[in-house]
Parts: sequence; structure tokens; C-alpha cells
Amino acid sequence: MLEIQVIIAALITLAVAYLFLYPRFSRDDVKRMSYLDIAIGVVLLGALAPFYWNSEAEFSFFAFETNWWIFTILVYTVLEIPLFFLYVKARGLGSQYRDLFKSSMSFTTMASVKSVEKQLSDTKWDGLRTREALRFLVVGANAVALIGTVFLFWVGDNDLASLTLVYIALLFIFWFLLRQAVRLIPEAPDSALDERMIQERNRTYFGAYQILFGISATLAGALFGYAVASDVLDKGDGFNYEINLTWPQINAIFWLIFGYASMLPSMVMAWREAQRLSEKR
Amino acid sequence: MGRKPKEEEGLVGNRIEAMRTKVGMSRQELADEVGVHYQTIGYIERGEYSPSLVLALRIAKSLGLKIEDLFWIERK
Repeated sequence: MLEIQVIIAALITLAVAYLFLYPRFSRDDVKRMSYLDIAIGVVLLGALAPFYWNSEAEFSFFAFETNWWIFTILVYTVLEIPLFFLYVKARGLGSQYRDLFKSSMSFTTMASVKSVEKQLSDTKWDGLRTREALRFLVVGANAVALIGTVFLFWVGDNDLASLTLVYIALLFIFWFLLRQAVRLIPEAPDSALDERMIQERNRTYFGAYQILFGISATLAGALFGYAVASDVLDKGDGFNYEINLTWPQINAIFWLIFGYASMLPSMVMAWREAQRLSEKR
Repeated sequence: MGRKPKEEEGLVGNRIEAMRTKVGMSRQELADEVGVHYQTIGYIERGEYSPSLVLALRIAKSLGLKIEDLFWIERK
């Protein structure tokens, strides 16, 4: 029984984690415990990989048949949940975990106070904070998003489609650089900022919302327009519509919305800062 | 009666830089004392940001001055 082997490995791992590693190394810090949990899960997968990698073996998880690594993750999770609750209750970590959960759910304040404070006095990225660099970042991020979208709509089922990865990587690079350029202020919680920065961050969000509304409305309008055009061209029956999208086209829509939603606040702040620097000259 | 547009409100003028230099205080020291980032002191000194009443009072107190001796409204 292959399943028993994995279950025993998971039980041993959990025993080591909860009886030795967490009490000794997490020091009742829930964040540290979360990181350790991920690391321990990776170690378990790494330990099982030499036995099952590339094997055709199927594992039964209740009514489902699955492969070794999905089975391992599922078994590890199911076995860990009761242990986790017992551990949290025994050590009085409930409120810490609730706070961590709340902060991870608030997508608009992703940066921690510590990381923002570090960024506010950072000079390492000052090269990105000149008028020219800020403009380049904003124009570049928009160019990447738009050219990438057009490319993905155009590309067919061929080798060029693998360039999608380049597009995604570029989006992440611009996202990262924009955040450094504006010192994480658009993502910072109030407690990390002073009154001027809070005012600036709030103005930025107002501007970003207006632009995001424009983009969303354009996409929604295009969908509506497509339905109307289908009726006019007698391609629809007035109620059911068919939209055929390729995988790159799905990617184009997803990354356009995701890219703008995550980059717009930093873009708006960077553009405002570039304008301020211009006026100073 | 509506609110005046921002550009017609005028900015707050101040003599923080002169007074700060007079008492030998750096931007960082003043910022630490009033609880803001040192860049914000720079923004206020250059007239690029009008501080809240609380912050203005704190700055005046740190420099040992009355608020009206430090700030005034600058009409365009």
C-alpha cells in the first residue's frame, strides 16, 4: 500500500515538527511558524521525490485517484489541521493567528510597517526616483502591458506562445521596480506613514481607481459590444453567445487586469512624483 | 457657499528652515521630535505641503515659537 508509506512519512514529519521544531524554533511567533511549516512541507516532498518521481503510481485519496505529490500535500494538510488547532490552543496563539489572517486578507495594504520604514530611509534605489526614471517606469510598464496583451491575442498555438513567460516576467520586474521607486507608500498601512504620506497615498488611490474604472468599463463595454455585434451579424440567437478564446488570449485578459490592478497605484504615484520634480526645475 | 478650489486656497508660507537653522536643529531632529518623516519637513519648508493644525502646532512648539510667528497663508 503506497498510501500507507506516505501517511507514515507525513506522521513522522508532523511529529518532528510539532514536538521539536516548532517549540524550539518558532518561539511562539506565528509568522515564523508559517514559514517553517512551508519549509517542512517542502522537505517532506523532497524526501519522497526520489521514490515516486516519474512513477506512474496512483494514490487513492477517498474517492479520488491522484499522483504522489498531490496526495502527499493533501495527507499532510488533513493530518496537520487538528494538530495545528491543538498546538495553537495549548500555546495561546489564537489572536496572533487571527491578526495574521486578517492582514493577509487585506490586499490593499500588502507591505509591512517594517519594510515600509526600511524603504523610507533607503537610498539604494534613488536612481529610480529621478524624473526621467519615474517616467520611464510608468511608460515602460504601460507599454509592456499593452504590447503583451496585443501579442497574446495575436499569437497562435506555436512556439512563440512560450514568450508569454517573458511578458509575465517583465510585468513582475516593472511591478517590483515601481514599488521601489515609490518606497512602497501606496501599499503601506497608516501606521507606517506620516500625515503627508497618508494624504499622498489616498490621493493616489483616488486617481488609480478612476483609471482602473476606465479600463474595467472598456473591457466590460467590449463584451457588451461583442454581444450586440453578434446579433447584428446574425451570429447569435439574441440570448446565447459563444466566445472562443485561446489559452494565450485568456492569459492576455488575466494579466492585463491583474497587472494594472497591482501596478496602478504605484504608477499613479510615480507619475505624480515625476510631475512634481518637473515643476521644481 | 461652496469650497474654494485647491489652487485658489493658497499655500501655507513658513519660516521653519530659518528658525530651525537658528536653533541648530537638523531636519531629521525636528522630524523625530514632531513625529514625521524628515522628507515631510522638507516638503513643508519648501511650501509643497501644508501641515495639519496639530503638526503645525507641534513644529512651532519644538522651535519655541508661536504658531503665527512661524506660519502664514500665502495668497497667489
